[in-house]
Amino acid sequence: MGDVINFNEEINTTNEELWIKFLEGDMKAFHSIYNSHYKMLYNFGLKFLKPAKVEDCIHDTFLNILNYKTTISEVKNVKAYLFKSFRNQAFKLINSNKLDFNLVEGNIPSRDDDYDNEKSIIVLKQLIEKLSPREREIIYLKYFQGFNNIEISELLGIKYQTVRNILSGAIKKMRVLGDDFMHVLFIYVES
Amino acid sequence: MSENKKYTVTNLLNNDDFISWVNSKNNNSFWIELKGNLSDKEKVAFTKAESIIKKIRSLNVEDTNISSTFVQEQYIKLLEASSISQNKEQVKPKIFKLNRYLKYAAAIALLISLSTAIYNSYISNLNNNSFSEHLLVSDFNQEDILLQVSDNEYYKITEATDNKWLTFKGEFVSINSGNISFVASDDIKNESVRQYKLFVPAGKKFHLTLIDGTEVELNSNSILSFNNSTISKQRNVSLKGEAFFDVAHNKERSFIVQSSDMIVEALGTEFNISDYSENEFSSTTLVNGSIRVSNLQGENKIIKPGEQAKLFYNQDKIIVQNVDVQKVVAWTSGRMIFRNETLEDLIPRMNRWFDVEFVILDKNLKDYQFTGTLKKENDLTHYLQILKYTRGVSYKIENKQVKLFINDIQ
Repeated sequence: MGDVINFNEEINTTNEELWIKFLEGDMKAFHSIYNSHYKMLYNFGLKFLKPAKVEDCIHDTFLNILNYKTTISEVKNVKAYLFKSFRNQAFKLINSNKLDFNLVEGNIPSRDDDYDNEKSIIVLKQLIEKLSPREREIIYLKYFQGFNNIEISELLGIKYQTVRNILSGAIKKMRVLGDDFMHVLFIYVES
Repeated sequence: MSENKKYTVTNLLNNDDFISWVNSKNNNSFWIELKGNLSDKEKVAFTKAESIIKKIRSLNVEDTNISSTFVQEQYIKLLEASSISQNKEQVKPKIFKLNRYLKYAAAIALLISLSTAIYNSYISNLNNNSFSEHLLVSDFNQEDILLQVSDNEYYKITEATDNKWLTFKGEFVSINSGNISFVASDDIKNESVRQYKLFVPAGKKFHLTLIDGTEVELNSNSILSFNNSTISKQRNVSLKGEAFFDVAHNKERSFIVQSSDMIVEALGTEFNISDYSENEFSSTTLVNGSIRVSNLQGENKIIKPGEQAKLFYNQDKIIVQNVDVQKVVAWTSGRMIFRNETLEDLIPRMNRWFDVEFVILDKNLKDYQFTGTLKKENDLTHYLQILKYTRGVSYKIENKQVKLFINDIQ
């Protein structure tokens, strides 16, 4: 799980080169972009769409890219571009301009019947539920997908400063996680 | 600015390099070294920030497990959809509608539920797939739809052939009982182009999608020979029998159909070629676009939509005339249309349609005229019953022979 971001960093430099190759007609480059981003987009999509819709949405995203290849130019960050296109496609699909972004989908697997861990997950869940959908999405993009604030601002189509503000608001709410576990639990019980 | 350099919880949680260090398990010495040099207060912040990220990540939201097989299937689906939409863009409003896109859509739907055993992980592993894994090896025969892959290698396509697919030298091949389609993958190897032959026996028809997106509907008793080169100067196929072509547009590479006595050259268009040896002539009928028809002597004519180029055997001249296009291509949607045609003229078509041999026992019957539509879903006896009750024609079926006579003769 932790390898995801590291892996991206390694190939990030070549993704943009692959993109140029694809625009020049290299389908192998396209295939490799497709393969390396499919799972990320899929997991991203699951945060606000049903699985079948996620599938359709990814399909349409790449189909558009293939069909309008001639009108697409070079992109600064392929991954951010794909996420952005995917999001736009999702808006079309759900016919709304708001995503109900859900970070905690169903059950969180608890490991090794760890009682403490299970409890801390409940706390975490409570905290996340207090975040706004937008805060959740930015948390996800930053801590799970490894986007920086500039990329997030481009991806979401909002100002850089807005990203910073939303993020610091979210961090404030999440800060208790850094405290000792029992302390967190205490706050949770109190509130 | 200097505020951002401080190692507070907030600053660290905004630092992308820090985030990526926490998320990866790598031992980036910069952060480890830094931690050792921090003041006590900063060290607490550092540990807190680290712990917050780890806890957020413990949500495990990456957990959805999709297999590479799934991704692969989705990719094929994408390539197919892309070749359809590119093809569709070229299709102008039509005089008639074929049901082939629907059928095609069904084929794609089936593709999604493919068995996982075929794909191990990646295309490169797949090149060893062979037709023999999925299709029954067959000898050459006149009864089955056959795909000839090399000189002595024939495969049977039967009712049971559904949902089979494989890759060969970068070609994705999807095979169903009623159609076969070739799609280029990214690592198609063009050096060694394989020549395929498709045999469709009497009483059947079959749909083929070539690698360039061209759609071919093959009528009964027909053979199409083709390859899947994507770089050759021209796209060449040769035909015996009858086929309807909806050629994918490509100005750079003209599409050429060679029949026994005609050469038809097209860029992107829809046309029907009929070249049955039992007919007195071969013909090419244009539905849409523009084509050039040449005979073996080098005479050539440009044909317009709605026109038919006819070439009678042993005559060198190409005759161009207007025809009822709908009637010519009716077979592609499983219909046969007669317009004031004599029974004698109809017999070769009906023989192919029903895969039987009609025999006229009474000379007078030859000049009986018929107008009407025959549907593929109705069987032979249905049709014979109509003949009997509307025209008083009796019949007797003996093996594959259908004998027609007038009632009072017997």
